[in-house]
Parts: sequence; structure tokens; C-alpha cells
Amino acid sequence: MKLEIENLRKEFGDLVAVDDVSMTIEDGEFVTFVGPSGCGKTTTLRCVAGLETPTSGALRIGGEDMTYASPEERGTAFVFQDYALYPHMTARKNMSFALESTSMDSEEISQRVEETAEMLGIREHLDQTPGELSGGQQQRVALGRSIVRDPKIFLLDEPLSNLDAKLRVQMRAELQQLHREIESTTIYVTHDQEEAMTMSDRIAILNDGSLQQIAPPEVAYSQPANEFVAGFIGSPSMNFVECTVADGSVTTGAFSVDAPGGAETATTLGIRPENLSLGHGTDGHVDAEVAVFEQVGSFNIVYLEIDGLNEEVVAQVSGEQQFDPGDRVSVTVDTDRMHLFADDGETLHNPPVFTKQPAAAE
Amino acid sequence: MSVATRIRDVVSGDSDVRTVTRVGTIGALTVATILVAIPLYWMVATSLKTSVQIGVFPPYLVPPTPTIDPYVDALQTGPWAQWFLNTVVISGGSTLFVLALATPAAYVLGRREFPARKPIYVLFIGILMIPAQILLIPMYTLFSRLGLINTRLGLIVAYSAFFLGFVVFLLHSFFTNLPDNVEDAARIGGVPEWRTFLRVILPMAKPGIATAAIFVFVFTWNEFLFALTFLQTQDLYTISVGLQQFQGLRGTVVYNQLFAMSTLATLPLMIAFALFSEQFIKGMAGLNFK
Repeated sequence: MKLEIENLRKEFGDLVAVDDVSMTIEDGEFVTFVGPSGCGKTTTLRCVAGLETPTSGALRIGGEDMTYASPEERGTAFVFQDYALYPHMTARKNMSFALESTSMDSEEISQRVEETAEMLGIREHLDQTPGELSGGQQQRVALGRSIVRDPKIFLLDEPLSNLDAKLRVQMRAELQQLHREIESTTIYVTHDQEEAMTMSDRIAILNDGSLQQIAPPEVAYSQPANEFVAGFIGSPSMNFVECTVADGSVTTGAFSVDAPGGAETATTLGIRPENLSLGHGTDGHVDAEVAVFEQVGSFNIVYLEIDGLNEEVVAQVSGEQQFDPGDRVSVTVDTDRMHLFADDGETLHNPPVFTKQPAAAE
Repeated sequence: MSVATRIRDVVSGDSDVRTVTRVGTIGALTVATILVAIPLYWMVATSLKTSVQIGVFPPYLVPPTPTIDPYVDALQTGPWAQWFLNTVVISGGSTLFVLALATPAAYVLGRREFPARKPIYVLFIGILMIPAQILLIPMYTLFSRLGLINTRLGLIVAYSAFFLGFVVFLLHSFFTNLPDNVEDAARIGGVPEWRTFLRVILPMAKPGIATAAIFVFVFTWNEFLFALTFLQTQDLYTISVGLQQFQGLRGTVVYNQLFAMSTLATLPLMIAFALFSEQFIKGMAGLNFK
């Protein structure tokens, strides 16, 4: 079901939790809200669910105004961060409890619960209480409790944050699989940008209660709308260096590169760690000293002190490149992948989005 | 604990502290147990002695010829079955009445947002600070106008009024400690509010409610001052008022009979506590006064 959020605003006393957020989420779309703690993502979600009443603005589900509708009228399902399972009820009862308040007959209820449990692989745990289940199993029961109701919109509030790292990656894939099977509109809240990047059709980046950008992951990554998005999406974070633009070149405290058109007022140069390459020669844009070397494995991270720059710069190099602190290196900037930002943080220049390579003709 | 581990614990400084704490804890608990157990033992022991054996000095620690005569004699002294029943009705009634009022009140105060929530809660806490003795005379006057003096209902109402504040306070802290979001989860599913309260919240709060129930039941079971003042007809007496007649009836206190009836009166409480001790301990552990 299509969801439209229009100029949504939510205040708690003096605090503005959500400030003028508007977006349209298409039927069957998987959208992730991402942002730092307190950015308003959970509050927005709770407004959609009907657990909070917006201060102003409108919400439409399937074209119908639902701004002040009760939670059950909206037909949404909500998976809470702490699962909020009923601790004294079995998994089966947890899943069937809400349905028992509807006119559905008990045979259909138990059939639905069985089917859903089957789909989630928790059939053998149906008669256990949450206390007897592992974190991953509890998570599945919480999902199952939502799925049995056949909701129009799924709302997931940091559902994986209480799981350990390995299980999190596994559940991530399962959730995507589940979304493909159920095909229902889903909003997923997380502070983990990796989850956002890997799972969603589009990601909505929020900060201080306002929407910064809503775009497909690859666009948010290559073409961030502003400096905040640029810094938030991607790990390690983008490097930001003070710069001036004049006479067709971008000049920082340490080096100059050719400037793209239309970015004359830029004051900050943004460059992702993987767009810096390091060599032992002197043919790069600038020389630097290795401050810290972090061995990751498939790639490595190098913290650099560039001569003439105050900012510390991070480079990401391939796994075979090894350095020691104190090594002198020559740094080359990939000038095709530069970002330029104005004084107010707005983007002036972005590189193109990476697209799928056309299959080679046989 | 084996000798080896004990030695290891003492040698390593960290567990040394723990050993000291353990010894301290066990010591304190032993002293507390003795303090509670001695009067109880003395009560039971005395109830099995003849009136001659009571007066002996030094006293017999163990009754030399245990007899149940004091029990038989004491039961002749009044309508004890009736008094026992009265006590059950008044204690049970007060407990039910208090819980029926305090549970929803504590729930709303603990888990819902509404204007003046804090002041109302403080008002309940305020009730705790009024000593019962101060209220005795005003309540007597008020209740006599309402025709509630010399009735079991009157005493139930009086007890409930006292315990309302305490039980709201106790359950409030219990409700605030329940996991967040369970009501929201039910609300999104379209579960009616009353059903969420009865089927989700109440079962989760069971240990807290059991703890409150035991507190109220035990206190009202033993209560003397109000029962003595409010109940005037002998038929309406509670056990604690009934016990008073062994004192001074013939100028002396008939200790063995007094203690025989006291033992009988204590028995139901001990049984109730044994049955619910697990809930009670869980409830005490779940409390977090903040």
C-alpha cells in the first residue's frame, strides 16, 4: 500500500523531533530511515503507526487520510527494537493474541500461525515462551506476530540491533527474502548505514528531525545531497578538506587539482577514502606520512598526515598494500570522484552514479 | 565449598572480600532468623504447657509433658470459629478491595501520560505519611454517621483506605519496571485496551500483586487497634480482639490458652506464606523504588 507523508511535524514540548518531513513511499517498496540517534527516525515511524499523533502535517495510506486514525485502522504492523513480546505467553499465543480480538475464526488463526511459523523456521518453538528462546528466535516470533496480521505496511524499528554481528548479517538476508515473498510496503529504521545500504530500495537520511535526502542507496552514496549525507553514508567516512576554487582549479592547503564546472563557491572538498591511492614514488598530488595503519584484511585503512593540511585524511587501500606508521607515501586523488560542498553544506558537485556494466557481447 | 577452593578464595584478595561479605551476610541472616524464631517457638512451647508449668522458674525450654488441653480449654472461652471467619472475611475483603482499586490506579500512574500525573501520585504517597492513630477518632465519628461502625464492611473500608497509598506505591514501581512497548504492540494489533490490561499487563505484574496481597493480608489479619474500636458486638470480633479476653478477664493472663489461640491464628499466615513464598520473593526482587 502506498504511503504518503506530507509536511509531518512532531513536537514534544519544546523539542522538535520531526521537522517538516515529506515523502512518498510506493506500494511494495522497502525504504530505510537512517540517521544518528535522536534524528527523528523512530518518531516518524511511530507517527506512521499511529502511536504518536503528529503536531501538524498529514499521512495517507493507500490514498486515504490516516493522520488521526487509530493504530488498528491503519493496518500497519510494528516490530519493536526490544521485540515487546508478551513474556508470559507462548510463541504461538504471542502470534495469535491480536487476531483473537478480530472476527477471524480460531481455525483460520491457528492455520495462519502455523504457516507463518513454517515460513520463519520457528515451528518447533511455537510452544515455548520468549524466555526460553534465543535472541534470533525471539526476533522471528516478533516478525511472525506482525506477519500473521497481513498488514498493509510493515514498520520495523531497529529490529536487528539486539542481535550479535553474525546473526545480524544472516537476519538481514532473511528479511530481504521475506520482503520479496510478502511484497508489502516496508519502512525499516536503523542507525546502521550498512543495513540501510544493503537492504533498501531507497534510503531516507534524517538528521535533527529533518529529511536530508531520500534516494536509492547507490545515488545516496555517489551523489549525496549535502555534506551531512556525504559524511554519514560510507565507512570509513568521507574526508573533508577546506578548499578554495579559482581559475579552474581546486586548491587546498597542500595541493591543487582541476576544478569541475559550476563549483566556484565551494569551500569544502570531499573525497572518499577509496578514491585516494598511495604509492612509494613522488608522482602523486601530495606527500604524506602514515600515522596509523589498520589491518582489516580484504582492504586496509591508512590514517595520513598530509604535509600542509590540518585535517587528518583516511585512505582505504587494497589488502595487499602494507604500511607501517612513519612511512612516507605519495597520495594520488581520483579527480573523477571528487565532491564539492558550499559553505552551508549543500552539494555543488558530485561524481556520476556507478551503473551496471552492460554484459559483454559474445 | 571444598577446602581447596576456600583456601584459594582467601589467598586471592578479590574473593577475600567476597568471603567477608558472605560471612557477614550469613551472620546477619542467622541473627534475624533467631530473632524471629524465638518468640514463635516460645509461643508454641508455652501453648503446650499446663498452667502450673508456666509459672516455674527457671522456665522449661521444652514442655516436660506436652498437652493440648490449653487448646481445648481456650476454644470453650468464646465463639472462636465465628471470630476466625470474621478475620478471614475482613482480611480477605480488604485485600481484594485494595487490589481492585490500587492495581488500575498504579497502572495508569505508572505507564500512562496524562496531565497532573505526578501530583496525583505524590498525593497517594502522602497518604503513607499519616499515622493510623491520628485517624482513629475522626474516622470513628465519620463511620458512625455512615452507619459503618460495628460492621465488618466498615473495617474493610477503613483498612482499604490505609493500604491504598501503600499498594499504589508498591505496584507503581512494579509497573514502571515492566518492559516498554508491550501495550503499543497490542494496540497496533487492534487489541482492546481492557483486554491488554487483563491478559498482558496483569499476568506480567503477578509477582507484584502477590507481594502487595500478602502485605495487606498479614497486616489486616493482625490488626488490633481499629478492630477493637470499630467492632463492639462479640459476634463480630476478629481473632486479635478475641485474644484480648485472656488478659485480665479473671485478673490474670492465661498464657497457655492465649498462646494456643495465637498459634492457631498464626498458622494460616504461615501456610499462605509457604504457598506463595516464591511469588513473594520474586515480587520483592522485582521492586525498584525510583
